[in-house]
Amino acid sequence: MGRRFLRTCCALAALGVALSAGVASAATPEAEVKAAYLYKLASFVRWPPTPQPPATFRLCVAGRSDIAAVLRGLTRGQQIDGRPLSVEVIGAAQASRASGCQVLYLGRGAEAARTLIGATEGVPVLTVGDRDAGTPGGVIDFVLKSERVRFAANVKRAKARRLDLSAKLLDVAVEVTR
Amino acid sequence: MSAPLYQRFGRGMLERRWATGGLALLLLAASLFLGWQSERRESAERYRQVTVQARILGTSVASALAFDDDSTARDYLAGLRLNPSILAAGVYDESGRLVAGYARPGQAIAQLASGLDHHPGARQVSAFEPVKEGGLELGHVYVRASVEPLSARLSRYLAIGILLVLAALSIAILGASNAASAAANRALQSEIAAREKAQAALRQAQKMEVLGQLTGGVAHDFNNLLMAASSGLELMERAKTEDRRKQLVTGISEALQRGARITGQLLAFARRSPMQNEVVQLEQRIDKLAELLDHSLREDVSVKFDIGEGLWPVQIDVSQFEVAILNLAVNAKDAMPNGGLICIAAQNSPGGLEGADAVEVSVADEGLGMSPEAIEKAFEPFFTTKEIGRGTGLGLSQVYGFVQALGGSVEIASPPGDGTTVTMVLPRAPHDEGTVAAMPERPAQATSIAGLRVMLVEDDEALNELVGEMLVDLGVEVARAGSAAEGLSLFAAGAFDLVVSDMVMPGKLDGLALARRLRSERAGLPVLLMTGYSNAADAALADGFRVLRKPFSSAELAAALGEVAVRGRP
Ligand SMILES: Nc1ncnc2c1ncn2[C@@H]1O[C@H](COP(=O)(O)OP(=O)(O)OP(=O)(O)O)[C@@H](O)[C@H]1O
Ligand SMILES: [Mg+2]
Repeated sequence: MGRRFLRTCCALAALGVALSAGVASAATPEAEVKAAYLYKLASFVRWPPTPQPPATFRLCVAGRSDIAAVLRGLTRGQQIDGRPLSVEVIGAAQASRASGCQVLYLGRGAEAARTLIGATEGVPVLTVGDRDAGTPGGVIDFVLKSERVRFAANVKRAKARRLDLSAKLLDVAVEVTR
Repeated sequence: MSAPLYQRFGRGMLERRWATGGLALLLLAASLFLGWQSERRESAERYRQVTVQARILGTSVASALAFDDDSTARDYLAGLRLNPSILAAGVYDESGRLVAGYARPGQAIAQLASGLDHHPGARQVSAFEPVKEGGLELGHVYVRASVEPLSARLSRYLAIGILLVLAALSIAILGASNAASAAANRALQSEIAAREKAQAALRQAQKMEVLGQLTGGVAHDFNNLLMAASSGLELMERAKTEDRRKQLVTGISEALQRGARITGQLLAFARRSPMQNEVVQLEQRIDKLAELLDHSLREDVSVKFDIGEGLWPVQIDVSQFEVAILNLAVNAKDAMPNGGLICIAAQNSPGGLEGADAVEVSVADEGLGMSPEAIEKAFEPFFTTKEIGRGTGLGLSQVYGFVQALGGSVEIASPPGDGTTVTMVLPRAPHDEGTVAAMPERPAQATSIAGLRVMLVEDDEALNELVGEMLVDLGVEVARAGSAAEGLSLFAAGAFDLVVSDMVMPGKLDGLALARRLRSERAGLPVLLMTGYSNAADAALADGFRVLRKPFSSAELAAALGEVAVRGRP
C-alpha cells in the first residue's frame, strides 16, 4: 500500500505543479516556486517590533524581474501582519532603499548581492540568497536539491539582523547554520 | 437458648441480605446511568480530541506544506500513526491535493480534500482543520478516529458495574459478618456467664471441700485437747491430793462444752468423723430433743413438734442429728430476737430424694428471714452475719455435713416476711421396721479384762499418761509406747494380750499400719484403735478393727476393750 500511496502522491504533485504553472502564465516552475516561497517565508519569520511600523510590507527582488512578476500576482490583495504587500524590484544602485525592505531576494549577480547585503547589515531585512544563482550569504539561501527548491537557514545571520526564524521553518530547512 | 439465638441471627442475616441486594441494584442502576451519560459525552469528547489532534498536526505540518516538504509532513503523520485509534489522517495543500496521508486497513483516505467524508461511520469521528501560518492559509489536515465501540464500552461498564457490585457486596458481607460476630459475641457472653455460674458453683463445692479438710485438720488437735480435759475431769474423782486435783482442773473450763460442739460440727462438715450410724425411729428421739432444746433456748421462745405418724426409720448418727437440730433451733431463736415459735416437723416423703423414699425433718421459725445471698452462702463454713462471739458460722455447715454424709440433702426456704424453714431430707433406712435396733446395751466387761497385759501406743504424751492411768484403773497391766516403731519393738519383747493404739501418729508407721503388722505377726490379736479423726478410720473399720472415738469415757474404754478382748479370744 505504501508504494501505491507514494505513487499517487507523486502523480498528484505533478498535477499540482502543472495546475499552478497553468495559472501563472509563462513563468518557469522555478520562478513560480521561488516566488511562492518568498511570500510564504514571511509567515515563518518574526521581525523586531518597531515604534512606527512601515505602512506596507515590502518584498524586494534583485535581479529576477520574472520572480517579481510572479510575486506580484501571488500577493495581489494579500496582507501580512495586517499590512498590504508591495513587491519592488531593486538593483545594486538602489542599495540605500534596500534597508527599507522586509524581505530582500538576491536573485542574480554576486557583486550586487554583496553590496545589498552590506547595505542592510544589522538591519532587520530577511535576506534570501540563491546558491545556484551564485548569490549565497543570506539569512535564507535557496538551494536545489533532488530537482526541488529547498532552502538553508542561517540562524547566526538572522540574529545579527534581529530576526526570529520559526522552528517550523528550520524544521523543513535542508541545512541550518547556528 | 441457642435455637432462638440462631433464629434471631438468621433473621438478621436475611434482612441484611435484602439490604445488600437493594444496595447492589442501586449501585448497578447508578453505574448504568453514569455509563449512559458518559456514552453521550463520549462522542462529543472524542470529536474535541480529534479536532485538537488535527490542529496539532496542522501546526506541525505548516512549514512542510508551505515549502512542499512532503517527507516532513509524512514524518508528522507517522507520529500520529502510533495512536491506534486514529483510523486515517491526511495533509492537503492549498488546492486540496493530498500531500501526505495514511489509512488503516479497511479505511480510506480521500485524495482530494473535497472528497473527504465529514460524517464518517457511527463509531467514528473526523476533523478537518485548516493549516494557517501568520494569516497565510497553507492547506488542510484531516483526522479520522474511532470511538470505542459500544460493545467494548458496555463490557467496560459491565466490568465496572460488577466491580461496584462486588465492592458493595463485600462491604455488605463485611457488615453482616460484623453483625454476625457481634451476635456470636453476645451468645458467647451469655455462654460465658452461664459457665461462670456453673464454675462458681463448682468452686463453691471445691471451697467447701478444702475447708472441710482444713476444719478436719483443726479438729484433730482440738480433739486431743478435749480428750485430755475430759479424762482429767474423770480422774479428778479418784485424785488423792488437793494439789493433784487442782493440777487436773487447770486448763479445763466451760469452754469444753463449746469446744466439743465445735469439733463435732467441724468433723461432721469435713465428713471425716467416723459416723456412728444407727437405724433409728425419729419419734423415739423427740423427748430427748425437747429436753435438749429446753435448756438451750430462751423462755420467750417456744418449740412445737409436729411429728407425722409411722415415720420411716433413718440411719443416722444420733448425736450428730441432735446437734443439727440444736443448731437449727439456735439459729431460729437468734432470728427471733423478740421471741416466737419454732416448729420442728418430721414427715415421710415418698420418692422425695431423687425418687428414693426419704424422711423430711424441718425446723421453721417466724423470724427475720434470709436474703437470697445469705441463703446461697449460709452453708459455707464460717459464714455468719452475727457479731463476733455470738456466731462462728459453723451451725449450718454442720447440718450440711451431717446430711451430706447420709446421702441426703438440705434446703433453706425463706419467703419474704414468712420466717425461715430449713428442711433436712434424710434417706429412708434400708432396714425393715422390725429390725430397727434399740439403743445398743453396752455389756459390762470390766471383769473379763482385768489382768490383761495391754500395750498402749500413743504419741501424745499427756494422752498417753491419761489413757494409761485409765487402763490401770480398769485393772489391766499397761506397757506404754510413744510411737508405732517403739510399739513394734515393745511388742516383740513382751507377751501382750491386747493392743490399744492411737491411729494418727508421726513417723513411717501409723496406728493402722502397726496394727496390721502386729496382726500379721499374731493372727487374732485383739487391737483397739483410738481416733478422733483419721483418713484411715474407714479403712480400719474395713479391716475389722474396733475403732474407739475420742473423746471417750473410761466406761466406753472398758466396753471397747471388753469387746475386742472377747472377739480376739480364740
Ligand atoms: N433461721 C434463720 N433465720 C435467719 N437467718 C438465719 C437462719 N439460720 C441461719 N441464718 C443465717 O445464716 C448464717 C449462718 O448460719 P450458721 O448457723 O451457719 O452460723 P451462725 O449461726 O452465724 O453461727 P454458729 O451457728 O456457728 O454459732 C447466720 O449468721 C444467719 O445470718
Ligand atoms: Mg447457727
